[in-house]
Amino acid sequence: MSQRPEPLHEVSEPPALLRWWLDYRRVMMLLLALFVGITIVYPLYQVFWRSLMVDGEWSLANYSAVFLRPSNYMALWNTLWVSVLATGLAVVIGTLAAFVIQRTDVPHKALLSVLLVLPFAIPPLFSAIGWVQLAGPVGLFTQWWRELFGAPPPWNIYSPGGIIFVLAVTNYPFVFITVAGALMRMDSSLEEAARTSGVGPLRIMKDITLPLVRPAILGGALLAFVSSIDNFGIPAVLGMRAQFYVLTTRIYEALTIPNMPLATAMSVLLVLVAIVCLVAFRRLEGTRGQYAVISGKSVTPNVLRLGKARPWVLAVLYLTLVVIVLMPVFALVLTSLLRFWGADLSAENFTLRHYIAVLNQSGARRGIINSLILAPAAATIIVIVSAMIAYLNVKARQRGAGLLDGIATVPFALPGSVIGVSMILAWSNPAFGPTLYGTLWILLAGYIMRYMAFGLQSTRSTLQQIHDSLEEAAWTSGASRLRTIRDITLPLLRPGMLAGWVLIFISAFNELTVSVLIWTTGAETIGVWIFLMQDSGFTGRAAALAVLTLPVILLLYLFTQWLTKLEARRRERVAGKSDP
Amino acid sequence: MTAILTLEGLTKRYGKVTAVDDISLSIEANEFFSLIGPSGCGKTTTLRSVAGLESAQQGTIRMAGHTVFDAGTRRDLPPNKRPIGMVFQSYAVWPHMNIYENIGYPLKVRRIPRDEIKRRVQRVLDMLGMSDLGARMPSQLSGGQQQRVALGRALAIEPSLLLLDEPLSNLDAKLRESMRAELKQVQRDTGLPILYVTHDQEEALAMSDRIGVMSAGVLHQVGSPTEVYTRPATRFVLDFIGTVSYLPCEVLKREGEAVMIRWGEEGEASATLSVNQNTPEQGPASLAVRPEHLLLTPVADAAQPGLARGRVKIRAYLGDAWEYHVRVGDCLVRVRTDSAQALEEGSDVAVGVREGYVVSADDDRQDRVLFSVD
Repeated sequence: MSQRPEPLHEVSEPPALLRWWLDYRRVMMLLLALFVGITIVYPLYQVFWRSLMVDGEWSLANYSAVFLRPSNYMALWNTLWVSVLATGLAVVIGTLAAFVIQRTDVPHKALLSVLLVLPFAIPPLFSAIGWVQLAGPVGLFTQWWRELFGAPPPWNIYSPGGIIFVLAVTNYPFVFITVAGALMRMDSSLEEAARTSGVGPLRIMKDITLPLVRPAILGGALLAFVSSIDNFGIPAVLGMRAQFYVLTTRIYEALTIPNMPLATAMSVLLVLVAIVCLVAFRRLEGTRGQYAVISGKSVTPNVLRLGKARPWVLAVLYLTLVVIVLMPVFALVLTSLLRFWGADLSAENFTLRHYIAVLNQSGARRGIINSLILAPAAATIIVIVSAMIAYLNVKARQRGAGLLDGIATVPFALPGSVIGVSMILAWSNPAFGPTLYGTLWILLAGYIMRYMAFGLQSTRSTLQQIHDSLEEAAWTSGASRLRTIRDITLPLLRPGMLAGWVLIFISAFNELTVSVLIWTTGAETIGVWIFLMQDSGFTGRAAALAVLTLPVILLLYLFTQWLTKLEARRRERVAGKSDP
Repeated sequence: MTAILTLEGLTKRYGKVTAVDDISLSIEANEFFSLIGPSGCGKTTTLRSVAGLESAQQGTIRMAGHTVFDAGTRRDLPPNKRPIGMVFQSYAVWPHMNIYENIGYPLKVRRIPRDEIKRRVQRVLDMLGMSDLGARMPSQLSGGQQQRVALGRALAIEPSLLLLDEPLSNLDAKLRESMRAELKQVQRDTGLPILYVTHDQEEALAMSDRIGVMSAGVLHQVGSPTEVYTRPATRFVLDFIGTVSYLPCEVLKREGEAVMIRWGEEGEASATLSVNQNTPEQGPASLAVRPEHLLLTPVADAAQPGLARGRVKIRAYLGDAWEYHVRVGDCLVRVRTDSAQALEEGSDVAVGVREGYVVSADDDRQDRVLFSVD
């Protein structure tokens, strides 16, 4: 290796102007800005602009119309109090569960953790139907109560209380996951310091641990709250029958009339609710959450020994999980197999006729096929686009890419109904391009807008973990920029893209809130059909269709769990160094 | 000797901050050249400009007879067109490729035949003592082994110039020392010119043929390790390289290259030292001394005049030497003696000065010149 070779390359460069145009970053930036502009900015602009327009004039008439009819502002009020109470209940369930799992010596922690986050995998509409079959007028729990006490039960599932309860048992995993995560990462020396000062374990939890995880509780509560105001399936199944409306169901009603200006104005109100709450939570976090105590260490922390109470705590946990997580699914499966709900559980009453009916119905078959097309299409488009945006933002540090990333993340904070309304406004009579309303394309556009943030989040965070020097090393090794992307960046980004893809697929496959507003005959989805069947009294068929989709969702859900574990192990490697 | 790398007037600004300020230097064939300075001094920016990872605003960079950067003609070859190998502080070993693929990658992108790649990667692995590790994944290697892979990857194409960006700073002390020797050996064996960036002066003094000392974007001195240590160009270099303690003194008179001073708590001690460009003509001054410039004598034996009174405050045993913190007047000075001479803490000593730098007391600007570089 002693003889020194001549430089390996000697190139003449194109003139500066040509280079400027050839720069792939600018070309990519332009195309991506166009994509985000059409799929996200234009529909959003439509909602806000149209809600302020009456007959081509600026006017607040649409908003005064909303407040002139009590049923409209009642919906706003109902959304608020139902979501607040549901979030409160979710916080209690989620925080208690997190403390029991992370800070007591209860056994079976692995199994319990899996069961506790299972509601994430079950679409809210399924839970709502399941709970109707359990606690509705002819529900299992209702029957058991009658047999035990000889009187009608003291609850009514078709009520605000029913909605609050089902929202809470659907959304508590948000709180559980954030709080359990914070407890796991908390620096245990803070608790040990209290223990060496002679404080008992329960007192430590109250005085030290709980205040320290308050930011995590708030964060989880925010997610649960946004998810509650966003929800359509639960208040639709449990509230509309009792004439109890929230904003999402009111918007649905307004669109069936159809009263577009009213739906638009209410959408904007829904956005305002979301923003106000977001800001309120941020402020709470800002003043209370300034502790930098949650480090990366994981050491066995302050654990409360349950002693004799251990089997009882375990029994209560399992019982609760069976009732709130497994029973609704069980009821759904049973409904799909019984001739009619309330029939005796004897052999002659079991039947596959609901399945046969569903599969013989051409519309439902179409729905299944449409969802099987839409979910992977949306997931693929989003992941590719967001990988490019994230690359420009994080790695190429292209000016404007951060803004693009921010804009594309906005719809994440928007309730699904708003996205649905914006789709109709933008694409039923568009200012440019073809009319997408009445085709599958409008659903695809809606899903892209709704789930863009999922793709960006997973690709952005993966790219941020890839140390800059990994790319620079390839570059100084002689690889061109594009070759570096192909050989280094993409292979390292792939796990993040896959995780994002699966998450979007699961979410889009069962999407209801947006779909129910923009479906048309020929362009229905599984979620829409389940809702329509349930709404028109064919609960058996709705359950059958739901049960058919469950294996797909559950398998993919387990796949994501496995991916997350794999990712955690890979993380230190991707960081570009590993400790000796 | 021919210059492999020549920088002329290189200037790089980030907004209003000038990270690299008009730097010119050249590196000869077979030379191990280190850039050293505190963090933020611009040494890494200089290295990254040489690699092509940063574009400077002014100046030229010539490499092995070709201009790779010229701000005037806006010529700026990308890193993949420059004949370099580079090793990063964070190793940057690709986690999804095994060791063989990592080292072979620079050859692969240059479309070198598969057999040839195999031969050359194996030669690099042998040289680094990792002959059997080709199939391993990076996560199965220790930090030192990963850094060796990074070095192998940079050597694989037999570059004209090897760039090293604090390659040893992530390793523990023992490993750092053995890697230091290994790196030096590789350089001797291959004859590769090396541009090495570090903040660790010990590392730079031990390995380099020449050292460039940087501060706030400015190159203060270029010279051999002994030159930089014994004839610092500026006050900054004097402070940054090695250890110095300052004592007040008074210049009695200058005679040619010699200066006579009086120092000590009551001016009881005297010495004759060599002058530098910062030495004042007359009056109060500062005496800058390195730990090995001072002599300690137990006060009972110190009958001879010319020594200052001092007292040992703290002592530290270093194995091969003692280090004392000695109070002289209001000042604490660090003194290093051989391990045979053990003095108790609190004992009175007589302090003599063998060598030192007499500098002006009221002007301690960092760029004040001591010895001009030829």
